[in-house]
Amino acid sequence: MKEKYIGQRVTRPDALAKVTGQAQFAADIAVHRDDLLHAKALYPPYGHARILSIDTSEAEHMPGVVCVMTAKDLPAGCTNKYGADEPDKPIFAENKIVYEGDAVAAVAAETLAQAEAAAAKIRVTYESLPAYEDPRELRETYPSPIHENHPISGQSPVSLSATVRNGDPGPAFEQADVVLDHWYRTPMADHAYLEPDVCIVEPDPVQGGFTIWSPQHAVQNAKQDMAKLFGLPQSKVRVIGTLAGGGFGGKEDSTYDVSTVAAALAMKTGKPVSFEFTRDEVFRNTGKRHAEQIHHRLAADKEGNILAIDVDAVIDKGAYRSVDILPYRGSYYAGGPYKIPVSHAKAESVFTNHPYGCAFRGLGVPQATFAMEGQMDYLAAELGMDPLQLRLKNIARAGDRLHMGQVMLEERGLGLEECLLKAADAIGWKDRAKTGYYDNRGTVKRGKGIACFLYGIGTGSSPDGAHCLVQAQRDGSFNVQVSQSELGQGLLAAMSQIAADALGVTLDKIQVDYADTAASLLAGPTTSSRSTMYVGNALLSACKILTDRFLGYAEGVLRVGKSNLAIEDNMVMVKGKPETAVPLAEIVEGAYTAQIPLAAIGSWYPPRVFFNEDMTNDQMHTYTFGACAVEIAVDTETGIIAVERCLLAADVGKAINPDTVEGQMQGGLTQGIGWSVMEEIFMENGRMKNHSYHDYLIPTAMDVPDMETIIVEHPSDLGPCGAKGIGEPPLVATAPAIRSAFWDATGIFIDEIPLTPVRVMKALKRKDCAE
Amino acid sequence: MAEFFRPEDLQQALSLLAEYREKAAVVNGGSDIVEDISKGKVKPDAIVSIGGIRELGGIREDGGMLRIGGTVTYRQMLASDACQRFRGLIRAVSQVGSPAIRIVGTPAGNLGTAAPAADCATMLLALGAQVVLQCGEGQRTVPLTDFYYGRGKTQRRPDELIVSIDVPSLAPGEGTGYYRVARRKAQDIGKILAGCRLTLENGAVREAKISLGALNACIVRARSLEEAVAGKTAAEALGYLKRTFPEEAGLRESYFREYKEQVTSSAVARAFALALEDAAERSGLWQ
Repeated sequence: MKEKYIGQRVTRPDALAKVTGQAQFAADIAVHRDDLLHAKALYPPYGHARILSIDTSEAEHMPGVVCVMTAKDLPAGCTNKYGADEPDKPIFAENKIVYEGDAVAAVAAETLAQAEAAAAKIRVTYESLPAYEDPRELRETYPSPIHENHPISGQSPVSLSATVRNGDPGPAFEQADVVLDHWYRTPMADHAYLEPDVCIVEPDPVQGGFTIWSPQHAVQNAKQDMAKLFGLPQSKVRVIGTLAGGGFGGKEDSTYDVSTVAAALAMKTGKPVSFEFTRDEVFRNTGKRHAEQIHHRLAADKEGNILAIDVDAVIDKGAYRSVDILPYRGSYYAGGPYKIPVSHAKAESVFTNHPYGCAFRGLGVPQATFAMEGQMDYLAAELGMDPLQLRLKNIARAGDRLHMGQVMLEERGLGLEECLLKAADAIGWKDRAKTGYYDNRGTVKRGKGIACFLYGIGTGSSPDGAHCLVQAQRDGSFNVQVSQSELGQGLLAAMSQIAADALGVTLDKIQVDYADTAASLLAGPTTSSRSTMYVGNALLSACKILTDRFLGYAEGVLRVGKSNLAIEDNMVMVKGKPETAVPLAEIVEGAYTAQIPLAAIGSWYPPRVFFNEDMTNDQMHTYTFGACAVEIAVDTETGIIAVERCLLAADVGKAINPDTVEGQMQGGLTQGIGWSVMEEIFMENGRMKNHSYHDYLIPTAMDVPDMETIIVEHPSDLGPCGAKGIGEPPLVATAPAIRSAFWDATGIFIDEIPLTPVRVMKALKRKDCAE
Repeated sequence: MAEFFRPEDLQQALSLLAEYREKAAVVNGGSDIVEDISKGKVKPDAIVSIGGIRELGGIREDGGMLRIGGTVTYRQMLASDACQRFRGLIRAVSQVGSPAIRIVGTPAGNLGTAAPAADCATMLLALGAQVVLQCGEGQRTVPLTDFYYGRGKTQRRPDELIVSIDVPSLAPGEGTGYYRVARRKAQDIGKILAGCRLTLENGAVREAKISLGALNACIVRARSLEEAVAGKTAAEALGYLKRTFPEEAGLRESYFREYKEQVTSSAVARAFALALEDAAERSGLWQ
């Protein structure tokens, strides 16, 4: 395959339409339809309460109201339980609400204003219950005060528990020269996607079932989960993923929070229904990054070799299970990218009355990395070693084992050392140690920090494959049909580039049909930084089938065996003889006439993974690696941290489109800075206090520096042209890098983020008192 | 449903206010009130949009006063030569919200809303500004120090409009400074605001006005600090401010209380230092 487009900076097809405002999002589609009913749901003013009574009679008689629904009005066959992994969340609460995003009732009316007015007339009486917010306390509380009979966990306060046991850490801790024992805390965070959750659900009066238009991470999963919820055959639900105004993992199941309500109303009324959250509802109702408290113990010798880790991570699950692979990931990533011979790493997710914890860029890895990289800096401080050298000494190279027993393989692309060295070089690490490099005598103190990570591509559980469909048109153009979503990450560009090169055609011949269950095959979600690798590979396989067929047909036209034929720039020719070129369109047309099928299914599966009994495993076949380096200025009188430089060197295997790779890196770093120094959710009695952008601060353009990016390419033999993934990794090491720079600047370690002015001033005061 | 009016002259506007009184909402940039109306916190019968009243536009300096008209926007202030001389004011205004807010937002609105964390109002308080109010019966001038009754409450009667904000011109030796502490660099409400106007004479502080925002229900003058620094050398005054928490700051119990206790004196000292620097530079200009 000739790489004409792969590796090039191809402009994303959606870029122009988006910046000129012509691209249609789901809410735009709703605005242009005049046959829709509009939905409004009622949410409780409590984080935990019993429902004593619901009176909808007044609401039902309000103008324009077509339908008012509560749990008892759901269509027959509806289980009233849904969720991205396991169904446990009701569309409408039945007896109890366990967080303030539990809908109690909903209205469908002719206009939104009518729906809002009617929803306000629904009378609900509640018995307020104490809100439970501390997972460390709750995990010892049996039965769980939150779920009286959870469909999966029963009366257990723990949603899921996972432990890696690789040897016995006891002796290692006894023999160690250094034992570090620290608690790390990372906060909940809102995804802060620009587009609120929104959907249109339209019943199909012809064949039954319904169609959903909404921004999605996984149309095929939504199809399956919505059908299951309403007791429909899966074939009867069609899901069309509209262009997403940001998702970052959240819309994997927050989209269900709107589409379940709209679908219930649509099925009841037989009419298309649109439902859009307000920003307030997005904050209160949808999933958040899991807050974690991680007790990390690390044993090392005096040369800085890590001997063992012993980790206990407590994860705030919130009210429902949602995506709850977190304990696996918490234990899996507890040792970072380092060779560690002995490990005991446990992680547990515990139900609370908080918003449910869901997927968010990095899915547990940023939390685990904050703790492990924090330990590395403590170790460097303890031993008086350079933090960079300590990392270089410990990173797992080919043949080394990670803490969970996985052996690192050169052929999967091991670029971490190069990332660390390039990041250190770019940030000027050598200068950091020079006496007097910074004048830190004044009130503003500067420092540099570095942190590194690995990030497995794909979900890490089997089966995790992808299928796609490629159809040739008789004019030599192609429809590439993938179920993946365009979330702004650059799916359309990457898929077009891979398909064009694999087929030997120009980019303009490729149309990507995306995120429509009626025009694509099962391919897993657009999450886990997996689409380029998984769907890219499936695409290569489909294109190979088609080009084989067309070249087979061309043998008869060009009178040369197909191994000597090639397709380049829409022409089929004898290799090296452009004068023999025949337009591909003619070959496809001829093949069609010769009754050769013009469509092919491509598939790809990664190596299957299994856990060993002790939970040692090699769940992840390929890792993206990276090193984040920052330079910050700490104003010691105000506690304000200015991130003055922020750079990331990432080993992506192969950058299919360097523009979008860099875009992901810049976006992830920005989000990482927000999580590290600014973003904070304040809960009180199970209710969110800062449920607007006025009070929930995310960085503005003025709060972040120009992001510097360095692409490193150590190809994985499993990836398409060596590509790995880059969607989530850029955020993973920002927080520990900033913490490290704060230590460099002030001599103080802070083990809890975000490093807000309040937290910084407290830490500086503690230091003052100590001195 | 409220009626919407867009009067083109002052008399029209004032008669509307006289008619609707408490039931009228005066709107210009709308950056605060539109949100209140859309959330149903304010339910006016009449919305009186004053942006088209020509008499209320314009910034001019005459009779020893900088006069900022009642419809002047932040962006107009930033572009005004007369305002540039008040560096503290420019600094305060340039930190309000975002470019989009500064295009529509107005200092008169900032005073009228009487929010506790008002950047421009806090600086105006230190500048010794006066508020010129007009109703059908005539005009009156209220010193900004007397303008506020409490959070969201001012001396403006429902039939009055703020027609001008007047700030005494700068004399030789005077300088102004402003400092805000906020959690992010734009689009954020400050946690601590401090404004300062002072007169420097032979290296000593002859007089200083110091204002505080975001520390009380409404913005306040820190008279205890003003009295303490008067007569001190610049360095002594600065040292005093750095270690003194102003007794006028009435902190409520909140997540930020301890933080504000720790940081307020630094913020005040920084505003003061900026004013000192300005005064020194400006006296250089005069010599």
